[in-house]
Amino acid sequence: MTDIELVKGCLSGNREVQKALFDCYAGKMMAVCLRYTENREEAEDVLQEGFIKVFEKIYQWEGSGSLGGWIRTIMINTALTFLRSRKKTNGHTDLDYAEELNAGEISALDRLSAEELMELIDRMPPGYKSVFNLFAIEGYGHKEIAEMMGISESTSKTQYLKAKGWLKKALENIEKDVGEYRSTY
Amino acid sequence: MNTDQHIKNLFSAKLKETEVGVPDHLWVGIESRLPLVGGVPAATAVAKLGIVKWVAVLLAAVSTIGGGIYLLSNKENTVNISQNAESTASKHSEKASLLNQATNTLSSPVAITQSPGSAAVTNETENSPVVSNRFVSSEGEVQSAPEENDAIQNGNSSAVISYHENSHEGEKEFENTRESSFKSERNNPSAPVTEPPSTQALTASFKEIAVDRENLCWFFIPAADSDASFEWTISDGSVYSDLSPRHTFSAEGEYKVALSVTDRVGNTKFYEKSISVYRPGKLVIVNSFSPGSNGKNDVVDFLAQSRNIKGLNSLLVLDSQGNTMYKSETSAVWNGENPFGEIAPAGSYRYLISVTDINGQKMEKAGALQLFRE
Repeated sequence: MTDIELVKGCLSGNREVQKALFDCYAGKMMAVCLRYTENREEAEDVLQEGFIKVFEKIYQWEGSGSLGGWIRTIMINTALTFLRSRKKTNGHTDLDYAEELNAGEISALDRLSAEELMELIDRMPPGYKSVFNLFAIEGYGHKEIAEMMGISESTSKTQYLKAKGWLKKALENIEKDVGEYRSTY
Repeated sequence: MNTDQHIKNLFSAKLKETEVGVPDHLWVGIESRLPLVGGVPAATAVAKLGIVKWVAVLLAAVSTIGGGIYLLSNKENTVNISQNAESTASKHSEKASLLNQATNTLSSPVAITQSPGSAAVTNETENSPVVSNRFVSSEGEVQSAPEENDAIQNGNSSAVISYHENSHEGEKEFENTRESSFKSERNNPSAPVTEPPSTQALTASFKEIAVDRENLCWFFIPAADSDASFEWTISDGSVYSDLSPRHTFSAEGEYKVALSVTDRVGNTKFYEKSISVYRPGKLVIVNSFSPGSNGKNDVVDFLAQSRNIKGLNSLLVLDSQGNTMYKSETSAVWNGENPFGEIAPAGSYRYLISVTDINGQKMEKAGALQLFRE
């Protein structure tokens, strides 16, 4: 079914088409939700909220951009709203250093599979996870991120720097793990 | 290329299109919060497509008897509905589920005719300025082909049927795009590994990862030094000399994957293991049957059309009142009889089935089933 057919069916309230749209995009959107939230339960809640919004607002889809992109935007905004409402109080460990990743570390990142990168982001502290996701994966600029998250542009930049610092640290640990894994054989 | 651009490219290339398995119960949760089939979205669609007011009036007339009575008896809901278009959508879904509970119908034909009508009734009586506004403004933005209007004017039933057919085609299409979940990966430990002898420094061992079970795409990662040379032989005839090959099998089955590692001085180590390559299970369940003995759809076999299911864990069929009609942990076949051995009345029944698929993954599905009397 094409995007247009999916939207038409959803507009008429056809349950089977709604399910087809869900089946088509749920896998990708679940991956998006998992990246913003802290655990699977939260991601599932956000996914459900997001799809309900999608079905309620499907008549707003312009038909010009991709349906997937439109659904993704709704999903990201739902996740951000969720994170704001949760008001996480347990303070994340602030890193003092914000060193740039070096070439060796970048190529170490390059060697990681999608699954491993996903797990890495999963472990990233909530403080900079959203900014990192929006900047590095969705491709938003710091100005847009500041607007979406209701923070200042400089905060967005600082959070991104911290995320990179955290990645640097995490990569060291991964190298150690890989070393141990290989040495067990 | 600067570091940030590199990070962007790297992460978005690997993660932007990633898919993760989604358990069936999530859809069930969403579905329970959506308006009934042919419900409010249809009314919105009608407005969007610029169908004239009389359609709404007609629908209202059709269902005044059913939905109208309920609405009038629930003033609070009626008021809520007459807000702006966006918030009405969510209120409607609440109302629709209330309506559902109140009438105790599970998407039966009665419920289908009630819902659009009730929405129209409300708009007509409580907030006609808004309605006319929406109709007028939407006239301008009609981008619909004539067939869309036809589908709606011909009534809900014909529209539903045509989409029904589409969605079956669609299902096949989407089947191929679903990817295996990381979760299932973790829950499905690899085939037993025979420990390679550790007396020598050179080792040949690997782990396998299903990158995309649906498309039989697997990834093999060696647990050995990378300055040796690698030769992978898969029992379907494929040979690779990469460090970590990615292989797509052409058919499901049991395969042997062999790795031979040769170091610079010519020492060779060999390692082989069997892997089971199967697509994830898929539950496909009919949506109607007619118990009896005329030889056509007399029983429902919940697993007959399903794929790669190893076994049934449990099956529960409930009537619209929530009474248990059928419950089994051994047989996925229901003959349409209630626990007293009488054929159940025609109507809609809910089921909840739990199975284990061929990869050992537990799967659940809930849905509705229409029972017709011969």
